[in-house]
This record gives sequence, structure tokens and C-alpha cells, in this order.
Amino acid sequence: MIKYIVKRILQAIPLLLLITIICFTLINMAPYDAVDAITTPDMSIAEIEMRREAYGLNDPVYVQYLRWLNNILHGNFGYSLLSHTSIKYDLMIRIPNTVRLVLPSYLTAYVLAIVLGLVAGSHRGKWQDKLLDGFCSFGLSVPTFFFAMLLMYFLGYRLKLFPIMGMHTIGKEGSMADYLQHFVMPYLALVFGFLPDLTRYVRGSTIGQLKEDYVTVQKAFGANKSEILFKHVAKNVLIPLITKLGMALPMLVTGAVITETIFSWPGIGSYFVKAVSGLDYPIVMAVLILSGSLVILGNLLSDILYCLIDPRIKSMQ
Amino acid sequence: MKTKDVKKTRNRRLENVIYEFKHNRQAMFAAIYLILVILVSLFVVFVKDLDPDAIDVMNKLQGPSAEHWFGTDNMGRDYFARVLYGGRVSLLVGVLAMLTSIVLGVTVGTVSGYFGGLVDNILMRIVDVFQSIPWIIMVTVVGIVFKKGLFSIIIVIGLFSWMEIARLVRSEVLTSKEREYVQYARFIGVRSLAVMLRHVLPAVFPTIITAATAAIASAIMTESSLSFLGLGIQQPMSSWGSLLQQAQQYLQTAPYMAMLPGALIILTVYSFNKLGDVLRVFVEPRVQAGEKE
Amino acid sequence: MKKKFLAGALAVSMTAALLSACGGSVVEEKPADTQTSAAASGETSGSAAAETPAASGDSVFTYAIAGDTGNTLNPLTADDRFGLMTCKALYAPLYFIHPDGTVDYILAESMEANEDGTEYTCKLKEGLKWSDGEPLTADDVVFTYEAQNENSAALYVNDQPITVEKVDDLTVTFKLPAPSASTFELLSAEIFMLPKHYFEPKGTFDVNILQETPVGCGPYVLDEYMTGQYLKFTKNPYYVLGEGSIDTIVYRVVEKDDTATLALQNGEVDAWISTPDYLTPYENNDQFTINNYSEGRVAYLFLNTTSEKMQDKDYRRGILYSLDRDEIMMAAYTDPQFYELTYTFLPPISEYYNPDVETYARDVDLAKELTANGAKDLTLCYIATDSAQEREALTIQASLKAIGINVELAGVDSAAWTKAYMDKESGDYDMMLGGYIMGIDPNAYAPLFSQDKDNNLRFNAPEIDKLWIEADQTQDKAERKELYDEIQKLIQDEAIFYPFGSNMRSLVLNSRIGGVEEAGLVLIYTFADLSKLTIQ
Repeated sequence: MIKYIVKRILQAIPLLLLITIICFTLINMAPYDAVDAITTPDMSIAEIEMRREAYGLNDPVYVQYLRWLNNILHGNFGYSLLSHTSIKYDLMIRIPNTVRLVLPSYLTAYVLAIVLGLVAGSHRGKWQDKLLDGFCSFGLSVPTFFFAMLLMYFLGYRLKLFPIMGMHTIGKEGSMADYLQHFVMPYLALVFGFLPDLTRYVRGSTIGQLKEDYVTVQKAFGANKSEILFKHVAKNVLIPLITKLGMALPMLVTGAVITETIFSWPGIGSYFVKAVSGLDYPIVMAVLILSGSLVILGNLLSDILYCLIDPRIKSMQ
Repeated sequence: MKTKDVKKTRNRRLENVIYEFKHNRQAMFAAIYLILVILVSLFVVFVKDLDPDAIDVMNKLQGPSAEHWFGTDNMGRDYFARVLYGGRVSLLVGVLAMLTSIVLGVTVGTVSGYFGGLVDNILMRIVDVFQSIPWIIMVTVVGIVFKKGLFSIIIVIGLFSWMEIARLVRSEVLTSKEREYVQYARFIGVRSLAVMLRHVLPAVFPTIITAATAAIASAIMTESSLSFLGLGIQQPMSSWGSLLQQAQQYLQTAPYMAMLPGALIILTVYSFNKLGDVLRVFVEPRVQAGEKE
Repeated sequence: MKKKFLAGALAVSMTAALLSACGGSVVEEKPADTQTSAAASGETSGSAAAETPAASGDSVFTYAIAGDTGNTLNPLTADDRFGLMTCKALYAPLYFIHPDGTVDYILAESMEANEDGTEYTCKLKEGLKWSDGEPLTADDVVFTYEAQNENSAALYVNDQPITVEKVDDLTVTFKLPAPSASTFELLSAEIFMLPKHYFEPKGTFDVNILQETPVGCGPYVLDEYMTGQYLKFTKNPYYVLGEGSIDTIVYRVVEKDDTATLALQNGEVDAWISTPDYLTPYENNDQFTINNYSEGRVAYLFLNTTSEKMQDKDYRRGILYSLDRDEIMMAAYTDPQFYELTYTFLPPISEYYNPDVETYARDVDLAKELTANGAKDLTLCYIATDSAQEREALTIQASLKAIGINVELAGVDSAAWTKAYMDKESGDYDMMLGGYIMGIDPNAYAPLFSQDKDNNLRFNAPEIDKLWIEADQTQDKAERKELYDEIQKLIQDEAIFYPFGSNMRSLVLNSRIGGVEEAGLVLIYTFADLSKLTIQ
């Protein structure tokens, strides 16, 4: 098993490198001069040239790539073209904000999906299933931003239940109640966004498991339905689902781009959208490389989780 | 002999699909709705006096009236006309992006599955890399390299949604290339390209059809999200997504402006998904058998 | 909208009269005024606090601003609206001149000219302090003006700088190389006094507001800045006109109008600059007050002569002939009550404004003829978050389509817009939309068009450059007016700059906010003195 994990890790490394190469190529293709990020408008041309030299922007491309890679490994993502802030500093503020929005939402959707999916799957063709399946079909067709807009309109504006923007009322940064008030609407929007897909997944694998031989055997032994469902089926449904957790890792960074933008949540998503519309390439590339690496790490994690949990894979090694 | 057999299963499959449509009201509805939307989108250009770009600054933001069924927008343009033309754009993006991704996906999948070995390995690693970056990030990044506009939206969406199709097709090809007639064709020395086109692809065709409907739905969804973020369709052209972006500004005074394109997106995506579900019956007869259990 | 230059909002002829007539009396009236209003507001805020003890205790005024300041604030060179609004909260000038000519003496107690107008003497008020408690003296004033002179030639008369000398701790003299009537307003306007003890050791006027707390003398001090989110200020206990009535002021960045208007109605923000389309919910609504005021802003289209496609003057004229400024302004501002059309670079409130120029009244046939041999695809750059500009752009696009020219709209964010505007080498965009507020003295507009100055609009007409200088040095008013008439004509003839009109700003306030009249609505900053605002 350890051999398998090591093998997977070794496989992930070239993939990560490939992603950095793609990013670096994109950076070099992007129509801007990297020196812009480290100069101010009132510098003379000689000064700018000096900086260019000092920052190694005249070096051969592969030297630049290695230096850049080294910087990335140290968390140094460079500077924003527009505000000249250190991107590392911005990310350090923004990522936790996104995590505290996405993590609870995803976990809620995850737990709800398990319950609803098991219910639907085990009542195949009955009204519970039809209702839930209908909900999922519908949910998959509703754009997240449209749902968020409706929330904002009804809960925020019509009923005035929740504030419509930001994460805090300014001046009440420490207040949990205030935070929760701001949290509710984006949270609901995200849960609604994650739920249908996950529920369908659970429903599908529940139906699949119920067809398995061991269920028939259990039935033959006279085990009652709920016992089979929660003791045996649930366990087997959960195993592949746990690996989904690993795949969800990149969501912690990019899972809420649209929702954050709509509710002005100061996370990485709104930061990214703003950078894109301002053509702030270093930020865009930083987010790109971050999310790319997270996907690879997420896949790695899910494989490892799967390997740890599923006895069949264990025995295969 | 062989062809006859294939034909027989085809017919049975087709019957299944027709049966499914007849007995599934949602599927029936989806089909009728889609036909309607497509017809409207095709023929709306022939309606006179329905100009989505005609600016009339004296009549901005009017409520619904006999002349303007859904009022006018912030430039005095007829909102209903904009929604109809917006549908054209949304569907166009959906279909063309789907075609792009199908062509890419099928090519990569077939080549990869058919040749196997190193080719397969390299192509699949590329798929891995493409899949490893969240679509919203990738699409926006490439979007800023291209000029904004309809064409680049289509290309960009197509360019980043083919990976799933490639995987599906590859696994189908892997099984179908083991079939006798393919083996035989290879044995008697038919060129690879011909084998792929004549023998492997037809076998994969049902999978492609199913993937295509899902791809249209997701392309429409992607386009609307991008346009909503202001990164997609640019003024004065409209799509349902960009109309929603503008409607958001007037949510308070004119909520109907958001409801119309919103409902249309939901219905369209829903219908394409439903259609995909039904067509799955065509591909995997087992699914239908399962339904009746 | 992006640039405000040093000239104040006062016509030259009025200044001389004001100097002798109301110099002293204003000084005596003002402090008394402040005391009463401070006392009154003290009472209201006291009672409010008593009524709602559950509230956090601090009164907070939140003003929704449509863009970020960026994390570097330079009080010497700030020229964008939000940067200047921040400076206005943090710093104070010697005195402030309102558009109607009244003078508020802030740090100065008086400002007197000698008989031949070559020397001004400024007396500072006693006991002035910086926000960190250090005394504010004549040294700081000298430091500030010297820094100004080093930075730009704005305080020059006939190419010679105005020199500043300290007489004693409370007295400063300004010596002019030659008499100049506009000096009085020149020395006020955007010149915020800067603390020598803070900036001299620093060596730069760039303040990184993420990490540093700028020391100022304005009504408020910066408490916290969050990039892209907000600026938070607390009141400055040492403010010369008395501590502000409201404890905390927040400039909250809300880029989207729809979010801002909902936030205002929900009470999440207290003030917002609305566009006419959004005013409906606030009309006849007791909870809000709408304050319309003019900034003398001029909205314009500019044809980028750096672009290859815009080299031919006839082609440019053709483009302008296809447009209708009334349609453009109507699209942007909905109702004529919110705008006035303009035909030259001056706003109509300027007494030098003379619309007797080539107006390029729409003539589609002529436009087609003139553009027949030119480019058929153009790009138009505007600020995407500015809905008025977007509509201007759409109208222009439709107009040009009618003469067979396709316009690609390039909506960018304001930072990118500024970059394109400042980069005079850039021909990325063929056309740009913009707006500026420059004050009233016509010479304040020279930097836009003169190759001797910034020349942001990229003119290349030595003849006009000469006229700018000549007009500035002419003392006789009638003669001067003639020269500016000529400049206005010539600038329009170049077919580079096409002004649409001057729009009103509608400030919507939650009615719990009082003291707007005392605080004064002014161009750029919105409020002349934030400390006078109150909260019920």
C-alpha cells in the first residue's frame, strides 16, 4: 500500500511541474511587461532598466522560470500590477475568508446529500425518490448566480432579513452574530449549488449497491430494509463519497467565485474576478497555479484516502 | 449478418426511446419546449420591427405595454426582442461550443483508445492537466488572451469541456476495438483512420449523442455565468446570462426583467439534461430495463 | 472625473475683492459658528446614545464609494476622486474657497496681501496640533509649499516659483515673482498641509496605508484600510474646527450600483451617489434625502490621436458628425434636469464658456462622406463599472453603426482606464470616454490639451499651446476672454475632443444624517468638512 501511495505521489510531481510550466508560458505570453509591477510611473527609464536588471528580467527564459518556481515554492507570488500589493499578503487575507464560507457550505451539502441520496435511492420510483430526483434535475438547471440573485432580492431586500454584502459590518469585526448574519445568504446559495450533484451521486451509488448480491443475501437472511440500508449499503456508498472530499479540495479556493462576487464576500473568488477584469495578470496566474496545484493534490489525496479505506485496493497491492 | 444484427438492436433501441418519450411527460415537455425555442431562435430574424439593438433614449426603462411586452431596458431597447435574440446567442454558443468539444473530445478519445501505449499515455496526461484546473479559472484566463466576444466564448468553452467526452469515448473505443469486426479489419490491413471512421466511431456514436446534449446544457450554463460576471458576451449583443447581469441592476424596480431570462435558462438547461437522460436509454438499454424493475 | 488640478473653484475677479472685504470678518464668524454646531451636535449625539445604549456606542457614518483608493496614498499627487476624498478627511488646507466665493479659514487665521499684490502674509491659528499631538507650525507650512514646488510647477507665476518664508511660528509669507490675481485661490485648493516631522524622515510622500498610519490635521484620522473593501476613519481630537460629531467614518467600496442602492435602503450604508435611474425608491421617501449638486464636471469623448486610425482630421470630424450629444446625455442621465449640454472644454458655469464653436451637430450624410476612406473598425474604452459611461458608449456605438463603422466596446476597470489615459504612447484604444472636474479658472484646463503640460488628450497644435501661455499671462479680463474664446474654437476644430455635457450629482443620504448644509456639498470631495455631519 505504501508503495502505491509513493507511486501516486511520484506521478503527481511531473503533473505539478507541467502546470507551473503552463502558467509560466501564459505569463510570458500575456501582453504586459513584468517590470510594470515593480516600478512606479515617476521612475526614469534608466531606473526602470536598473530594476529590470536587478530583478533578472533580462536573463534567459529558463533561468527566469527556475527563479520564478523557487519564488512560488516560497509562497512569493509577486506583486499586483494595479495596486502594487504583494499577492502573497492578499492571498493570506483572502483564502481564509473563502475557506470559512465554502467549507461549512460544502460540508452541509455533503451531509444533506448523503441523507437525501440514501432516502431517494432506497425508495426508488416512489414519491420520495421522484420528489428528490425532480429537485435535483431542477437544481442542476438553476444557475447559481440566479439563485443568489433571488435570495438577495427576497431575503435581503424584500424581507430585509440579512445584509446583502460583505462579511462584516465595519466596526463589528469581532461580533459572531454579525458575521453569521452576513454568512447566511452566500451559505445558502452555495449549499444549493453543491447539493443536487452530490445527491444524485449518492442516489446513483445507493441504487447500484442495492442491486449487489450481498443485499439479496441479507434479504434472504431476513434482515429488515433499514438495517440493510444503514448497516451495509450506507457503508459502501460512503467509501467512494469520501474520495469526493479529496476532489473537493480546490473548491476551498475557487468554489465560490460567482457567489463571492454577488455578495461582495472578500474572498479569493471576488479577488480573482476583479483581477481578470483589470487584466492584473500576476494575480490571475497566482490563482491559476494555486487552484491547479490544489486539484492535483486533491486527486492525490482522494486516491490515498480511497486506498486507505477500501480493502479491495489494499489487497490488490 | 453482422449489420443485420446491429440494425435490429438499433430498432429496438429506437423503440425504447419512443416508448420513453410517450410515457415520460417531462421528457415530452422537454422535447416540445426545445423544438419551440429552436424554431423561435431560427425564425425571429424574420419578424419585422423586432430590433433588439434599436436605441430609444426617450423611452428608457418603461414597464410592460402593448408595444413593448416586457418593457424597455436602460437604453430604451425592447426587452422582449432582446430576450428572443439573447436566446439565439445562448443556443448558438451552446451548440457550437458543444461541437467544438465533441470534435476535440472524440478525436482525442478515439486516437488515445485506438492506439494505446505511449500516445494514450501522453494524451491522457494532457486530459489530466486540462481537468485539473477549475473551468471558471481556465475559461477566464484564456478569455483575457482572446478578444472578448461571441467567437472567443465559443472557442474557450469548447476548449475546456472536451476532457470528459474524451475519457468516455476512449473507454468505449477500448472495448469496441476488441470486437471481431474491428480486429478483422485491422488484420486485413485497412488503414487506421478508415478503421476508426468506419468501424469504431459508429459504435461510439450513441455515447457521443448523450454526451452532446449534456454538453449543450453545460455550455449554456457556463456562458451565462461568464456573461453574468461581465466576462462573456459583450454589449450590445445579449445572451440570457448578460441580460440577467443587467436585470440585476433593476431587480428592485423591474423584477420581471430578471425572471424572464432566468426562467428560460432554467427550462432550457433542464430540457437538454432531460433529453440526455432519455437518450441514455438509447445507449444503455439496461437503464430502461432497470426502470421497470 | 479623474483629475482635479490646483486651481480652485473661484473666478479670478472675485478674489481680489474678497481679500480685503471679508478676510477678517469670516475668520471671526467661523469659530463661533463651529462652536454652536458642535455643541448642538454634541447634544444630539448624546441623546441618541442615551436612547440606544445597546448600540455599540460609536456613531458610524458609512459612505459607499464606487472604487478603491489603492494602498498607496500620496497627499501631494493624489488626483483621483477617492484618493482626494481620503486626503480631505486626513488633511486640511490653510483655507477653503467655496464655489460661491465664500472663504472658510481652516488652519489659517488670516491671509492678507500687500498693496501691490506681490506678497501674501498668512497667520496661523494658535495651538494647532497634528493628529499625533505634535504642534503644527509655520515650519510645516513652509515644508508643504516647498514640496509642492519641487513636485510640480503649479505654484509658478511667469515660470518662477512662489517662494515661502517663515517669519515666526505662526506667520508665513508668500513672495510672488510678479503680481497675480489668481494666487489667493492657487494657494488654497488642493494644498493640504503636511507634517514635516512625519514626511521628512520618510523621504517620500507615498504613504502605504496598509501598514502606516498617516499623521494629518484633518477632521479624521485613518484607522484601518482593507484593500478593495473599505477605509475606516476615527475622529481627530486635535482638529482645528473642533472634534467631529460622528465618531467613525467609513468609506466603503461598493462597485456595483445595484448592490449600493440595496445596501443604502437596508441601512448598511448611509450615503451614496446615485444615478438618475436609481432615484425612484428615494423620491417622496422620508427616510432619505436627495441632494442634487453640480460639480462643473464635463463628460467627453476623446479620439486618440496616438492611434493610427485617428490620424486624419477629416475622418475624426466625420466621426463627430455622426454623434448627437443630447442623445448621449439622455441615455446616460435619463432626464434633462440632471444635465446640461456643453460644447467646449469649459463647463457652462464658467464665465469664459463660449459655445460659439464648431458643435458638430449631427449630419449623417456628411459623416459618411468624411469617414468613407477611413477605418471601419474602432475600439472605445470606458470604465465598465460606470453605468453612465456604458450607456454613452452604447449610444455612440449605435450612432457610428449608422455610418457603417463598427465599434468594439472595451469596458475596463477604473485602474486600467487610468493607465490607458495616462499612457500617451498607447494607441490601444481608438476612442476613450471620460469626464473631468477642473475648477473654474480656464487655465486649469490647460494640462489636458497643452503639449507644455500633461497633454492627456494628446493634442499636437503648437498654435494652441502658445495661446494657453499668452492667455494665462494676460491680466486684462476682456482680452483674456478673447484669447480663451479662440482656444475653445481651435480645440473644437481639431476634432479630437468632443464634450457632451455637464451632469449633476445626486447624493442620497439616510435622513438620520444631518448637518449636510454645514458640512457643505462641494466638488470632488462631496463634503467640505466631514466633522460637521451629525447622526440622529
